Amino acid sequence: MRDNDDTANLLHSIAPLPKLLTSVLVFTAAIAVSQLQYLGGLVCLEIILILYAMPWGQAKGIIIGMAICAVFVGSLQYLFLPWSEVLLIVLRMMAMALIFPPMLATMRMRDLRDTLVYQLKIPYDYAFMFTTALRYVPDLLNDAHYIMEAQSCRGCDFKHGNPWQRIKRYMAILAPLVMHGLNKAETLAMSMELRGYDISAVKPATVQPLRSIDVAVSAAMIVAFAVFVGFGKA
Amino acid sequence: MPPIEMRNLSYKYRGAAGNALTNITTAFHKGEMVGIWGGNGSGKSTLLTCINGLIPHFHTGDLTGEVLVKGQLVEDTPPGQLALSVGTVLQDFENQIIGLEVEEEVAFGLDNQGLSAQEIAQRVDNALEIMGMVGYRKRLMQQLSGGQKQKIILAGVIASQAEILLLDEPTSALDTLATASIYQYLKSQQQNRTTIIVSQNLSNLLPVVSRLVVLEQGEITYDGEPTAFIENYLQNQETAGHMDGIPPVSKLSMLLRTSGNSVPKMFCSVEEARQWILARKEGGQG
Amino acid sequence: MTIEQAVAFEKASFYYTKDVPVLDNINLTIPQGQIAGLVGCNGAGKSTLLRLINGLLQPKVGKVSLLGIDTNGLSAAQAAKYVGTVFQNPNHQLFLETVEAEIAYGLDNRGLAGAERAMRIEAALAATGLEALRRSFPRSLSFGLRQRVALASVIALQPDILLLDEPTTGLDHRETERLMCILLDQQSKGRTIILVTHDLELQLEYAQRVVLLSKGRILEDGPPQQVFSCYEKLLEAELLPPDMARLTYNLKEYGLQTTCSIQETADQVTNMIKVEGGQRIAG
Repeated sequence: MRDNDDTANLLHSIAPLPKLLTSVLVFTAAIAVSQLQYLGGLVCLEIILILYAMPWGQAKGIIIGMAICAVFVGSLQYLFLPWSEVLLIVLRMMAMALIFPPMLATMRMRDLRDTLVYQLKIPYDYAFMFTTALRYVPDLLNDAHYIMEAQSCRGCDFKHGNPWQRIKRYMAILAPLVMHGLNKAETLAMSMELRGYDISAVKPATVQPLRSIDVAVSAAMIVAFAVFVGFGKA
Repeated sequence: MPPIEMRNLSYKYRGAAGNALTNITTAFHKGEMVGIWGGNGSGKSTLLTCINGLIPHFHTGDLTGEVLVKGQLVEDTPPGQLALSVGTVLQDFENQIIGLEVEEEVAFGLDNQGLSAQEIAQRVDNALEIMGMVGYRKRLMQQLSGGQKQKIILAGVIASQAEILLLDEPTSALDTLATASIYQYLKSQQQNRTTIIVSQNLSNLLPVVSRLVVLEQGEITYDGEPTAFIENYLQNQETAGHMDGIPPVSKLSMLLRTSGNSVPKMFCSVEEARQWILARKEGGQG
Repeated sequence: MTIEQAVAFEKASFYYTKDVPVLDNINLTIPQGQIAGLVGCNGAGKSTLLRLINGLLQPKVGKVSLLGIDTNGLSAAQAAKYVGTVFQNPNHQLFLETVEAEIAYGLDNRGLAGAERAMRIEAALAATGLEALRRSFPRSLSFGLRQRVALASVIALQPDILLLDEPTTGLDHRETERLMCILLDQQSKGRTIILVTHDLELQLEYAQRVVLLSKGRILEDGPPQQVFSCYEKLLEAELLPPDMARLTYNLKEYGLQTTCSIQETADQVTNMIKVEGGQRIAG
């Protein structure tokens, strides 16, 4: 999610609703389109968007991570399918996934939640649950890191040994992480009660109405989707 | 009517062998800054959770007696409603974080109170300034150190402008200078609110609290002026051998008495000690 | 007989980005068997220093040695042979069903078995006073007891060096005293103890030597009474000096020497008052 205003760009200034719409449309387009060059072009556009929207460190991590997944999935599929189909599957997977990082990275969680509740009319509890779950991913990754450090200091070697030994050792991260996660959830629930979460559904003062640029972007995305799918399905 | 009243309060957690609190009857008044001291398992945190409504609305157990906050029975008032008057900092502050960003975290409760955007922004600015965290407004909470997170949690409570503050080890992750600064700030604001601080560190509490409540195994064993507690504690032959947890300035007053100096009141702070010394220097032995 | 160095930093630096050093040109040696305290405000570099010792991090510049062995290329799991770490939050380590299983965890990682394994478990239980709780579920214990379980699991590995990162957070004064007694016992067996804590009074009571860190550099290094009496240095390090140091420093214009000792302060104050009283009578 968004870090701070020092890295703000044009994408940051667009409201969450057009971005959510873009994510859904691109995801759908990636499923609908079956031509390699269109999917390849879509993936390239998404990579450019990631490089534009996100800090270099994060962008690099996502691109490398996705490349590793693509190689892994592609290699597995190649055991059963011809090259062209493997490439189609891999490109489709990348196109479906790569739209989300730049969209989420340029959205503030609170704005996303407000959009879900007040513009898309999703009940507040569900929207809050969704955004809280999203934000807990980096928290739990952080906790996993600290747990890994603590267990390493008890002689637990995560880097060496056969795969079965390493899987067993990862239980030393998973088990405390789950217990920690449950504890976290309980304290979070208490904290929410104590901060008046259940008081009312009073509309927060921070909800921003849609501006002309948001409407324009949304319209442009719908048109682009229609054109893309129209040509790409042919 | 005092903001907080407890009448014959007893509480036992579900599945626990004994009571966490036994027959507590006391009241906390506006303008009071109260320190609650005691060992692990003495019931300090439980006492706070009986005020903010987590007991009985969140924790199940056997509750007898009454707790009233601003005249309302806590048992009949949801914690969210109590939150309009009560601000809490939990001991487990890291998991207390709700917001993703600093600004969101500090403003969370304010959103629910229906304040205008301008008022919220003002309160957030003010609270961050008090905590010395102004430049962190847009940072992700995840990027902050433990001490910084604790300061943001405190900022959230300050921004809420709650009349009752319940602070459970509010400076556990902070260094000594930051701790002293925060306690002094709380003392400066005590007039219009009721502040209850749970801490195992008497050195932090004594300089700022006007009333000390000591809990042992769920019962109040002392409730009154901090100085008198130190006097009794040090004069008790059994405990004097340990002098556990007693601040150095208080031990100093004991040693000065042993050396033949007339120290009418145990020192609770460095400033008290300094003033006594200067007064003796001016006035002489007499 | 030469005292072997437990830990040695030679011009060691660490940074995440080159222009912002977290630790800068650290030269530090800690002899075996010493209780050394590490103090500094939040962000001073204490945790990073610990991580350079226990192998979680490697220095970008310079060298860190454990018992004469260069830590370059040594992973944390390998360094665990020499150094045991107790972190601030024991919940990050505890996940097994019994206290005994937690203590055995590190031993199993090292491949120890049979009589040696059983003996070390018993010794660790005895050292930490946990014999009666050996079958208890660690997560059901109080925070203080969990901290002791984490310490026991580290002691069982018999490391030469023990690192403790804010081990007294959340402990009351009795539990703190118990924990420190365990550490003193470990020291008497030849272990080196490195203790990070904000509690300066605790450092005064137990540490033989204190290293004051500020913005990644060592500001002062010596006996705690000496370090904590350096009033200006403590303020530079953004730490509140101990009570007695603050009191005596604020009265230095009346001839008081800055000290952390309560007895020395009492003696100085008593003398000051007697002298003043004597002068008034003579006058």
